[in-house]
Amino acid sequence: MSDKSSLKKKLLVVDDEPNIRLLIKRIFEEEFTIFEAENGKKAFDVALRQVPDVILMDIMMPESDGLSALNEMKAHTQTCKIPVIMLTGVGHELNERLAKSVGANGYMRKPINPQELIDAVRKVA
Amino acid sequence: MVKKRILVVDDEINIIKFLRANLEEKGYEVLAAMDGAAALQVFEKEVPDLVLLDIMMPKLDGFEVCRRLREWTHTPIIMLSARANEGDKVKCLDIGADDYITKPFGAAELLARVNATLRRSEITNAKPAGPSFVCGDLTVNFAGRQVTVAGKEIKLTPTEYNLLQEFVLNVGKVLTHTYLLNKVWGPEYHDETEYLHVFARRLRMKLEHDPAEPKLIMTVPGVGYQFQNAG
Repeated sequence: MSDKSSLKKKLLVVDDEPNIRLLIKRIFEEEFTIFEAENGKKAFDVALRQVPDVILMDIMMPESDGLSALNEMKAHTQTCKIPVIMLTGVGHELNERLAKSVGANGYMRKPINPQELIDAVRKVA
Repeated sequence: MVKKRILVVDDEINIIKFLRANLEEKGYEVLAAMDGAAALQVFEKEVPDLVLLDIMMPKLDGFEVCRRLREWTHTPIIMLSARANEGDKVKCLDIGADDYITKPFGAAELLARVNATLRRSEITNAKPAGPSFVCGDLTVNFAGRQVTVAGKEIKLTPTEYNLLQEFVLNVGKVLTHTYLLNKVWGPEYHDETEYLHVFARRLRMKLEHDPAEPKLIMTVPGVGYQFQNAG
């Protein structure tokens, strides 16, 4: 790993939709080293290994959902301090309440407005 | 309930019989024409809710019938083709057809496409904040589904309008291919990225001052589209 990339902050994006991961990568790759996961289980593994500076995570994903992963992250000493912004696709209000109760640091409604997402990430990382 | 009326156009009697049997069973009223000229006549007299139109017909072919109908009507048109040809598919959508089915097809696929297309032509799942959207010289009137550019009315097909409405209700947001296909065409179309590109191109032709240098409908490569408020 070069000096330059090791100085970069790390961002983990968790979404089962490749389009969304690509979009978030495009938005943040200058400022952050981007890590990707397509479900909650993989997200937790990457979070443990990389300890990113911020996590953007979808709620509805097949296999293992974002709320369960958030729950696990917030319960583990190594990952509990990482700011997590949840991305909600449907049922915004209920999902936002749930995300908050599990300890999310913010949420963003899909479809994504890039400028709003940049502002939300700046607040926490 | 008033029966939906479907005009089926094909020069093969067996295809007409197949379409009629399956559509009538599902409660549609079926009108038939066996060549392009007859199709135009029946259409003008009866004004059906949807047209199933074969491409390969002697004299007036399906492409030409579609083009002529599109000069004055937005009734949904589904093209039927014997060839599984990507070029044909794009050409159909380019001249204003709403969908395309490759022969041979089964009853289930036919009915799924017919239902989805009729649904799209009816839905006004608009949740707009105001009665209209204004951006530069573009105005979209949600109630009347009317679109004007610099005061001049722009004719849009139902699918074109639905796509535009999804764009303007989400100004500044990046809409992924999957999101738009789901929302405008329905879940069974989530992989049909080519449809989306064709319709986005059509909207640009109708709305942008310079379609080659779009200022409203921006491409986000590999991801989707973003409607920008240029005003």
